[in-house]
Amino acid sequence: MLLKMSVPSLYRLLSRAVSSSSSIASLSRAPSLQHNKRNLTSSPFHSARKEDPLEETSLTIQSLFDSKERNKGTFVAACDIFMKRGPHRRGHVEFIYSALKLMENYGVHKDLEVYKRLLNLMPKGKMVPTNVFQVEFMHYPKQQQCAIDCLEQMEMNGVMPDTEMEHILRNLFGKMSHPVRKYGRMMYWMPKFKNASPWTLPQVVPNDTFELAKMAVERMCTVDPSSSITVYQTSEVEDALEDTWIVSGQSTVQQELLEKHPPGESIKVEGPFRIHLRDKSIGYFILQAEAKPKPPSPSRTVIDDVGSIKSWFTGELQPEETSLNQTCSVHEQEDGTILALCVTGTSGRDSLLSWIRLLEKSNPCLANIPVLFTQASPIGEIMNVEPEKHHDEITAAT
Amino acid sequence: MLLPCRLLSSVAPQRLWVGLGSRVTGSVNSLTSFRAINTSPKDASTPAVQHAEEENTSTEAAKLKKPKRAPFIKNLFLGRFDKSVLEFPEVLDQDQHELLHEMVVPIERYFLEQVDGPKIDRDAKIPEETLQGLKELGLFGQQIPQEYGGLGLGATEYARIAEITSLDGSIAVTLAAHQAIGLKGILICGTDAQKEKYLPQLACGDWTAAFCLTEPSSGSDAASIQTRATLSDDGKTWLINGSKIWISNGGFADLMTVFAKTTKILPSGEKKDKVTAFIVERSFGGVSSGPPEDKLGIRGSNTCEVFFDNTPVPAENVLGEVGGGFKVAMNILNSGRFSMGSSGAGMLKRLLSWSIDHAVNRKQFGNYLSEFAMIKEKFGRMSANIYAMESMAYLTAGILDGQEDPDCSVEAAIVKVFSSEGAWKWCSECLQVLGGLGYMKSYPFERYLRDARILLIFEGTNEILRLFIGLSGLQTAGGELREVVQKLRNPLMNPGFIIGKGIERFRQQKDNPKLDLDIAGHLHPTLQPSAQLLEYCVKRFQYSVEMVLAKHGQAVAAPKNQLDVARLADCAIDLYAMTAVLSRASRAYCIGLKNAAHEIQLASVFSAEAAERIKTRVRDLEIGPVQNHDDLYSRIADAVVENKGYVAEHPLTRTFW
Repeated sequence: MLLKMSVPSLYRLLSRAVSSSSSIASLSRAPSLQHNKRNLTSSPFHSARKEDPLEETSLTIQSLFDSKERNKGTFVAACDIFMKRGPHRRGHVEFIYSALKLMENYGVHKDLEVYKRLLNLMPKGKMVPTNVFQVEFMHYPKQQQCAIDCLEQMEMNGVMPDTEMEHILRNLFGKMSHPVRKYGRMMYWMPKFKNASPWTLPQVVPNDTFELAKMAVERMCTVDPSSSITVYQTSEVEDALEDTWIVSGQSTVQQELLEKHPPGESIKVEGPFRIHLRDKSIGYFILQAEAKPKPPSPSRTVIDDVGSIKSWFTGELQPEETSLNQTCSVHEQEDGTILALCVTGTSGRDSLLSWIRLLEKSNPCLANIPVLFTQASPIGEIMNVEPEKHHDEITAAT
Repeated sequence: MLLPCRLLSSVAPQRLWVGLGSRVTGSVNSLTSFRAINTSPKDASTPAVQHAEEENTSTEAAKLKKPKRAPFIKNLFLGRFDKSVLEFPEVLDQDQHELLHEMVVPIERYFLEQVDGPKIDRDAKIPEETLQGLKELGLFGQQIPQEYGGLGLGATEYARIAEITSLDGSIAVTLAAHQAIGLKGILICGTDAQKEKYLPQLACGDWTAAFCLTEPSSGSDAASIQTRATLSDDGKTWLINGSKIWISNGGFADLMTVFAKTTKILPSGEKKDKVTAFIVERSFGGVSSGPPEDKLGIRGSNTCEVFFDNTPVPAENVLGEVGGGFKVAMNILNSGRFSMGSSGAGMLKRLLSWSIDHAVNRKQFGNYLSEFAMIKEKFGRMSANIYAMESMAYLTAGILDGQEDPDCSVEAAIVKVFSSEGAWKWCSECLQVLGGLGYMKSYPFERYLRDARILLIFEGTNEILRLFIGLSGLQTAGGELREVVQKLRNPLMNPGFIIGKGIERFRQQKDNPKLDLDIAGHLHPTLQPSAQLLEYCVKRFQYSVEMVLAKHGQAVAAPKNQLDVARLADCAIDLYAMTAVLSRASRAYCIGLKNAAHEIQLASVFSAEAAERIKTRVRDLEIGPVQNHDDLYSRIADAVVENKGYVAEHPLTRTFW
């Protein structure tokens, strides 16, 4: 039995080695073969042949994916055409590999349904092992490896499989097969990572910068539960040059800090800094004051002295007496005190000016504080302001 | 790499996959977490069809056939811990889950935007258009099957909706009186003809239902009602005479489930009075209702007296059997209670976020309220309590939905007692966070507090339910421990047995029971310390049940021994709560829910404190009435009763100058 089974699979191994000029797929090396990102152990052979996804695939497959319009519809259509080619679905492994590589092009690399469709292209039942040895020695290695690579690509793209996927895999390779084990490990870890971030984002973040901006500001404002987020239009300001939106976040604590700020001392608008939301990023600005020196922590003798515990019921406390039980707010950082933050539609200097004007409504004290606009951005020139103004610091008195 | 090894070494049952990596859901017969999914229809042509079909049919069969399990708490009185409960139920399949969550959105929006709680409270009336909106949302027929025009919701879905409807106490009570008790009788034991006739009108809200049990002379003691039904000579109509008080919806209900005494002639010729349940339409005639009562809370709900004056009821409107009314009443009440856990939790979650809103914005002595440890402690404890309420409510709902012919009466009572007390206490604490502001009518806290007060009273007062919990468990235990207790109570007649038992109890008496239930093995390892505590408590509980039975014998049900029964009931409540939180937290951690680590914290702290409470109670039972002061309190109370009031002299009294 074993001998009978091994002949065709050996043939398959050989033919694979010949056709794709790669090393023989062995169990230990197999997983690394098709990885784009983790090919630490891959041989120079196939790192060389990775260049063009369609290079090694046959003409027929190439033509299937030759459509001008690259979207989910055409991708699925290509799969359907392949499906209809006949019951044997010859060349399905090659087809799936080339499809996997093109998924990102078609924008379907985060779509679970498409992955299921790809795996469903494999013939059911035939590859289910019938004895222990087949189970452990990777029955139909090329196909199993293909399924594993498919799962790997899902993992890389953060696509979590579901129960239907398990059924597909078990119908293909049996319940103890390597792809099903891989599925098991994925289903152990991926749900755990799925919700690991305390800031939930949609699976695919929107392309719209306004939506992104709201998400970004909302996320950054979570440091202080008293924050509120306001959306302004620059048209609300009289002489605004740019007509755009501003998403601004400020908490009541920050308003208080701003109120306490000495009127003569200038504060700065800094940025843009970059915040990432999944694979998208957006620039934001902060209104920052110079860092205040922290109040000196009370000396040992003061703390140890229980003879004069100060509390509110012993009379009105002096400011220096309250320092013991007052903590700095989260906004007072070592490098400065952050007073507000915003994302504007254009990230332009004029929109920031409008932002300050608009902030004045809720922070009247801002009228007496000079505001500097610095444009030393850590992320370089992404702003669409006039190029000649890219100096280190441009001052604009309000 | 645990997984592959396990797969290889065992011929794993197919279900193993569900519980990847955790021993919890790995236990085989997890009916709940397995879903049958057909792969694409194309597969039908491939050779693997058979394989796929086989699998699907087998899982579908498993789905249809719910497992039958023994009642959890009742068995706990015998020290038997059904570990399948540690698998937190997932009874909704994908479609039901999505449908429920689609349904929840408009209902929530309706309650937030359209329902004017303060106005309902002020006018003591729910506006007609608000009721109409509720009817349009289908809320009057939540548990009525779809073929009768209802939503056909299971217990779990019902509990979820109750979370939202509790945002207004008056509406919640009106809805509950209508469907949780009013028409429940028809659902549970109505004939097909009765269902056909009444359910469609009730489901759409054209008709409202009420439940008429309480009478001036009988509150909690349902068997002592005075309303009487007599059969006419032709045997076709019953004539009901009597009056009922405090009937929710009594002023406008078109259909009432009325309980009345009927005379039954026993084969021996002896006459005996038995309670019978009737479905009474208002249009039968002879039904009148008094003015609506003015109440402390739930002011918008209609509560009034209902009088029956020779109301003719056709014989086919008898609910259940003639003379079987008491059972019907108990069934109805027992089945309605579980949702109070989720509604309490729903309300508290809302109040919590309001008071947090205040705490983060209110500054005193240079600090925000949210920085004060005493305020933070309130929030922390409250979260743990809400967590327990929710877990218990949904665990119970899951058992109701996921098991064949479930007996959840004790569990439901536990949920009711725990969550009503929690709702009252934590409502009050939320109000406390706001201080003076909370006391003002301009804030909703005082209204919720007034509304919450009724929870401890209706659907069986908490005292009655404690007795119910304790005595139901003791009944079950007594059945099995009969001989043991008999011997324990006659030690001199059974010296050998007593010595054997003494050795067996040696560890118990040292407060160090042997832990051999392996509860920790069924939970995530993170929860191991809590699991050990639970196991310890289960063992101690079993010991104390035996102790109480041996101490009182059959007299355990006597009124003077209620304190011991109540202690056992409180232990059972805490045990159920611990089980529920641990099973939920473990599931959350295993499947990686958002903030699962937080849930672990909630579960750990709750079970640690619950264990502490159980420990104290068992100790009190152990040391007896003299040392735990029951005796003293009893004597004080006797004196007070004798004196018809406070006995001690005024502090300023002097006996000489």
